[in-house]
Amino acid sequence: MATPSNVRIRRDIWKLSEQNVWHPIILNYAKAIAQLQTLDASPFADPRSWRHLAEIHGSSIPRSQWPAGAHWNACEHGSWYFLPWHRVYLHHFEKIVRDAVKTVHGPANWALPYWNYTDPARPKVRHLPPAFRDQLLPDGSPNPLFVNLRGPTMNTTGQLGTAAVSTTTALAESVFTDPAGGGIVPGFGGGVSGRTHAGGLPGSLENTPHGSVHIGVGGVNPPGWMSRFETAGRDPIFWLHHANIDRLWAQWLRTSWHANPNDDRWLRESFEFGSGAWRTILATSDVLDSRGAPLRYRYDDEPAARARPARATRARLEAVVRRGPPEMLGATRESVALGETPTHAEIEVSPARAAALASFAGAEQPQRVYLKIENVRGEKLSAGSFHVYVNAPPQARGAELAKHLAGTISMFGVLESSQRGETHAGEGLTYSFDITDLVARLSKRKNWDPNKLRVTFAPIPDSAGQVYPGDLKVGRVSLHRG
Amino acid sequence: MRGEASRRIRTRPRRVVAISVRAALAGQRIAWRVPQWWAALAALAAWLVLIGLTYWPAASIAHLGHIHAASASIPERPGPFVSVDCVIAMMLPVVLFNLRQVAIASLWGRRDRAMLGFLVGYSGIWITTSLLLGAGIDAVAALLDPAATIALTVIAAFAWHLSPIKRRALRACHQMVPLAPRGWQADRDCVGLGLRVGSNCVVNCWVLMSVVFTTGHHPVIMGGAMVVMVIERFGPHAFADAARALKRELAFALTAPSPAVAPLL
Repeated sequence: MATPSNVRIRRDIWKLSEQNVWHPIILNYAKAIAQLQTLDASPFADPRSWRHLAEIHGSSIPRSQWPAGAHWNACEHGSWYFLPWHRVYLHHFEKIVRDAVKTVHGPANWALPYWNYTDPARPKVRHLPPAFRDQLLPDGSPNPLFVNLRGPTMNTTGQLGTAAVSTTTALAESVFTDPAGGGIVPGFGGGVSGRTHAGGLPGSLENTPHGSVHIGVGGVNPPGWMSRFETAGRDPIFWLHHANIDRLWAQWLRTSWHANPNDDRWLRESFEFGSGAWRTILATSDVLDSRGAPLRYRYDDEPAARARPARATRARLEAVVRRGPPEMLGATRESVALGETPTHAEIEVSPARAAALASFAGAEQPQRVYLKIENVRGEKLSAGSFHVYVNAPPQARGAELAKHLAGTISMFGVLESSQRGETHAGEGLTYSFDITDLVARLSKRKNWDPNKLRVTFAPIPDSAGQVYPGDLKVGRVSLHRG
Repeated sequence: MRGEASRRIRTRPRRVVAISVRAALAGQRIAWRVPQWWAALAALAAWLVLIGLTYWPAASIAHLGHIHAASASIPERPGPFVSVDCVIAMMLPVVLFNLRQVAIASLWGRRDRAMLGFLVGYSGIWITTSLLLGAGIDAVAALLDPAATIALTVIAAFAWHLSPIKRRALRACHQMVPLAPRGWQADRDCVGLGLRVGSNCVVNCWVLMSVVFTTGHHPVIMGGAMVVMVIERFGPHAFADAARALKRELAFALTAPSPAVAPLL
């Protein structure tokens, strides 16, 4: 049984930095990374080596050159396995780093810090923590936390945008996933899919802030380490970013009616990392309680004593689950470019025919409206993220424009998923937003036409205020109801 | 007693109405949540036909196909009817998921048409492939003895399983592309998607299919090959998951309460 004393605490990196830029937890992390990087000899066979750990997430090394037992290029994205896979990955990484911390005379209970970039009361947290921007350690040696290949100004004065770090949409999701959602209902944790990402959809959390922070830190032109699946794990901030994503999962679950899926397909799936003495293999069901063995950690913003879990109302859970896939009402006929300036698309909307049928569906049939942005592909990014607006007047700006915001799409993973290979089919990325409340507001303001819809994509400049020439395209925009 | 009988006669129409309403409701729910239901039934029917052709060769339908019990000899190639039946039986279960995606991505009134368009493209590729594969197997069989032909195809199937080309094709079997919402462009896109998925499916599975050809299209061999393809695509628990999903869908279809029709039940 996990007692408070044997549960490690993952701490907020900025709160540590405010005590001391080189707080012992941060300094030990840097020294441990330096230690792991000494094991980086091609073909990176040592499962503790820094490159080996990074290649697990994504790898451009041909499979024929992988060392024996390597489980590389395995990151789960666009899938309901996104959160459990990354939780096990972080656990695997943390235990190797903790062992390296011990070799540099650090504490045996070292825990990975997290980067909470979303605290509106502390706007400075949107900057990279200072220890990651210093080129040298306190003793004058090169700082392994510093990486050149990041977005412009991120290593100096640049910061993430407020839209990039927003957790509002993700934390407001009422379900983790919707098995009957037909690949349209995003949920918090992502769409139901196999390990081959078949038919999956990124959850709201994976889109923002996960993807937007990746690309905000890594940059767009050229894409730095954090901007690519294959190199993201090489940037030491990657692990703190994902610790924060993991923390947001725990935070979402603290709302009484939020629950993880109770589906065997999700619970039984196991994830394997490393090899030999440094092999980790855990199933989703093994890692749902982070305080229990083998994980034994909590975040410093969680209560020390585990609260008695609130009983989610069974009726509410059943009502959410018992429905069919939303009905498509219309879609664009042509692809839409995502460029340096805002672009628009029109959708001709048909009347819902399934509405009458839906009345037969069950005791409670929610009528939600979804906007799906499908098959975003390209080889060159014009921006790291785009705002998506509905029925925005051409001259609208600022607060007036914000009233039409449906969501933000991050381009993290677009370049990789546009290439055909063993992990992707070349179809790009797809996103979905619940715009029910937006439609209700627009209807009230007489700015909603049931027969047609106008969607606007506006690029979000990077930390240097720039957008770039690119070739991104949205394959289709579609509207769904149900 | 007369009163009891008379009461039963009066309530019979209400019971008929209640049963009819429940059946209609169940049908609508299944069509809504499992739009590809008819493709699953078609695959089941195709299997029944194959089994019938195998075990009742004296029946009048035997002339439609040239199916023999599995043997070490390379049998005559199946005729067109049986070739199409084989494609429906073996390949439809593998693309039921793709069909559902196509339906959900289409306007309500076009869902079945969209799935049919996909199947036209997909089946067309596989029917063409089966003709070419048959001719190829015949050519090889003319040079080798039957046992060697079978052994060669089995070894080739294992070797192909390890190839990067096959892994890329397997991944591409799950792809979904933008579909136009209306008009001939929508039909074009659905057929086009079927062709794309079918092409990748062929690259993924053609060597395994050659094993089926060399072993006489026996239902047991075909069933085994289908199981391999389904597990490859959807994981080792695919059939258990499908059985659970079927149970869940039937339970929902038949038992979920509905205030709209409660007064009729």
